[in-house]
Amino acid sequence: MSSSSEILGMASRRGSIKRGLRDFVLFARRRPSVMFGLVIVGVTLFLALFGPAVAPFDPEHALPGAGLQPPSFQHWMGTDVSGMDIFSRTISAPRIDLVIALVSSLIAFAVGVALGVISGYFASNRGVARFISEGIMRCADILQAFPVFIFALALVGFRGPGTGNVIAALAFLNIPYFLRVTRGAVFQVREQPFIEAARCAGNSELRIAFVHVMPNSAGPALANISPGIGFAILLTSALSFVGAGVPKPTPEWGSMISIGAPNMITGQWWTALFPGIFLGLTVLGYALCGDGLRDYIDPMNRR
Amino acid sequence: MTEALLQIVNLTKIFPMGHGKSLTAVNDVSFDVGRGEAVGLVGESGSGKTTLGRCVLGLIEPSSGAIVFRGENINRLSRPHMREFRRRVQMVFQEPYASLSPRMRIGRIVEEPLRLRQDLTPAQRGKRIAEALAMVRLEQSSIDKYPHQFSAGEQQRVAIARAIATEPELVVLDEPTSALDVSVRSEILDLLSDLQRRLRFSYLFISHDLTAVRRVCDRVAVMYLGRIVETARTEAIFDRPLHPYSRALLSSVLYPDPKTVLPRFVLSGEIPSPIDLPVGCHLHQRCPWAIEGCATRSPSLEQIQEEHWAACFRAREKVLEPASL
Amino acid sequence: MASLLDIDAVSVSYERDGKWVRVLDEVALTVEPGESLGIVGESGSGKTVLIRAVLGLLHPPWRIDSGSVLLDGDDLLKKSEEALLRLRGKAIAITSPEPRKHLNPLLRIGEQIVNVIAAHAKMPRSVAMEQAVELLTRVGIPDPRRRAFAYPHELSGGMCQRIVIAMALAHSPKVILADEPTAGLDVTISRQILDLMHDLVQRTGSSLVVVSRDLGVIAHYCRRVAVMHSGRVVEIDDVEHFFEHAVHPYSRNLLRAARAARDHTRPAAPNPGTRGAPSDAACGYASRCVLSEPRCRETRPSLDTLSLGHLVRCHRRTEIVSAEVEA
Repeated sequence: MSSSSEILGMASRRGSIKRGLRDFVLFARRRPSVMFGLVIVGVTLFLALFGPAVAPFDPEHALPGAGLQPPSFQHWMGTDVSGMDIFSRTISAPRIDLVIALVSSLIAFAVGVALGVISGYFASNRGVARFISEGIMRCADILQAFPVFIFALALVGFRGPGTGNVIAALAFLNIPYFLRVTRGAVFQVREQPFIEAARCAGNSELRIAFVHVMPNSAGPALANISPGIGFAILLTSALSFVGAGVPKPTPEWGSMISIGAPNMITGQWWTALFPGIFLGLTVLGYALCGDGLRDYIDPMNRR
Repeated sequence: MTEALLQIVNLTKIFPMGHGKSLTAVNDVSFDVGRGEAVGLVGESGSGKTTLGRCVLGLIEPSSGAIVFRGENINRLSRPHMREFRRRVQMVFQEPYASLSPRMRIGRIVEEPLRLRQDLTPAQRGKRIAEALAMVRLEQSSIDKYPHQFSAGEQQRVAIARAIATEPELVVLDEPTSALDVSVRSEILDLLSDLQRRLRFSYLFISHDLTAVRRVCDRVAVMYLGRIVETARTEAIFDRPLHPYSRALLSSVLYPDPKTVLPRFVLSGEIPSPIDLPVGCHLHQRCPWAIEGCATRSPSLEQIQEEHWAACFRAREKVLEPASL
Repeated sequence: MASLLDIDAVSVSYERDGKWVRVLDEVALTVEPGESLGIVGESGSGKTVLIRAVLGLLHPPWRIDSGSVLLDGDDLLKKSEEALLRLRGKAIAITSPEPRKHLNPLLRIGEQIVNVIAAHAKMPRSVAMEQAVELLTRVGIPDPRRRAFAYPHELSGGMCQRIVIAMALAHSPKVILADEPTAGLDVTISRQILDLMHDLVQRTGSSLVVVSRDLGVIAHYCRRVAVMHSGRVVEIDDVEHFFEHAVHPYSRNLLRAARAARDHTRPAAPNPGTRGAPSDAACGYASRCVLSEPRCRETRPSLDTLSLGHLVRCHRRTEIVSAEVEA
């Protein structure tokens, strides 16, 4: 009973999102690591919204002749080989990363949860239902068996680089995770009396699956979106690093690292270091925040 | 005698357990529930009462036998007839909170079964919901609230409101008060009793608590390991239980009064598992009345007195003894 | 005669969101040698916290604010963990409301009983095993030698409870704390378990503290009763006297509800309410009490003696007793 009631309890915590957020912040106060993660998330969100606007230089504008200048008062993080201000580019990068990460995560979430509900609710031992639910699971297994990066690369290689394709690749890859997590929750929820009650009320099985089961099983998947975002950012950077991701002039940490890496050998350490640090901190921050969110939700306010 | 609303005919339900074993939850059970009658089904774990309740609702398919409602076998109903059935037969579950969809507002929860009635306009549905809530003595403001905002007793009232919203003919109640604090039980029981008398539907009241059943039911059937061992009018079972199991059940009731003497009619040993049913009478290994024949033959329900049936070889003989409970 | 167990003004608080909330407020109870005391309380009354406090099982965020728990004159609250380990299972034992969860699912039950025996006495394993089998017989497990090799999941709830009782009795403790001994058990099995505990305790001379929500259990298996409500003891009395002459409004409502639940002829009793606001400056029941007066919301009543052996925590106790006021 304990974990199913946790899931249900979590589902029922119907306080407004604002209040939930505030409580989470209070929770984070007591956990320095979560607080750190929350700060990182906050900063990246801010930069995503306002980064390019507050940047001192145009992040995509090359200043000829100003290439490879070390950090100075004018260029806080120096310039890269094309003369673009690294600081401006670094703080403008979150926008594209977060857009890709959020959109792909949301798509993966929506599809993963829906498939998780179908494969979990209709999982049974015989008939068409078994075929469908098992089929979905085997597809998920296959997807998850691929090394993530290789698969992303292949997908993008197949369809060509570009933001849209990166989003598609990421979404596709993350579906199995949300699917499994939701399926687990569905197995518990579908045993609950209120599902039987829904049957007594004359609901069709499909209606029960989406009106009753899904809202109450989406919790665990929700709690796992945050680390997914961190991972998506990392993957976007990795793809961009090899040139298979975001197109060239767009500021993106991975591509910045890629451009700046050769320069590190010749002594211009600033070209790749700063974006690298930012990338590392960001992924860490999202992961910590995600951990904190998970602890916060399940079990509620555990000490 | 009016035709019975619900007829359970030779109902058997066996669950396969793998490795060649099977669990016989319900074993050739037959009884009726008349229109407007409140029938109690009493038993402990393994009695099969919960499975029986779910068969009656069509949530579980029987292995053999039939559930006949208004003359029709419910497992052979067409889609539209099934909808009609669902409208006429409703259920109240044991766990109040778990039986309500946690993310739905009360209004929507109570409204759900009303969607089976396609002849109602939304306005009429709204009126029905309001009436149902009033009848269970909940405030109209409850409509917009969520289940977790209510106490267990109130949640159960919501479940009851949902059950009566469609004006059913039969309500199956599965341990409706067992999960509630003692202080709330009698209120809910009175409410149930009251509703039944006013709205005149039938009850199948499933419980392990004989005294709860006494408050609500006209007739009682006692189940043990998938079989009915005794059935009679409520007062008759309390005054003079004829089956040793019923006696033991009754004597296990602890009245909150130190002056009442606790009868020592206690069964020895554990309840056998329904996977490994004993041969002969299922109770014989624990029964203080057991004689030789009990280990080899299984007694069937026989009429011992007027409207009083028991499945025990010695019931008739014991009737003549003084009722020394 | 000095009491065997003397719980004196024990207060416990719990930290939540940076604030300390009091959950037990100056709880005072005594248990005499060989006596059976029942503690009645519904959810939220603090009875479980009390048991854990007595056994020294409260860790942060719980905190014992004050008070003492004297077992034969020895204050348990001041003892070290090592000292408590020597006492638990030996001088003071416990049964659980969830017997199956109380047992280790990975060990055979014979093994578990032997572990309890060996924890407090040095002896060869074979001797300990013999004692374990003897205990199993005493608690009514059929075919004990064979059953000792079973795992908890192979046994019914009633059997598990018997084993927990066997473990509790292994060292003939001075006092047994039985927390909801019949929770989750079938009615006929409950009766067996209660009779068993009663017989065994009488024979060993241990004291028994039964914590239960069921007044029926208290009525027939305890000699004295203490009623708890929102962290306080509100009434203590002899069982026979209590069931006829309870004074505290909450006790009376509890009795009424319990009787109504068991007696179909009685009208339904109003819900007495399970949780009051634990506040230093008021009676915890005032918000739900039909007899409450302004002073009930302003001053905390003290637990005072009304008559021999009968203590009540209510401002209006004398009036209630004189039967001019019907609660």
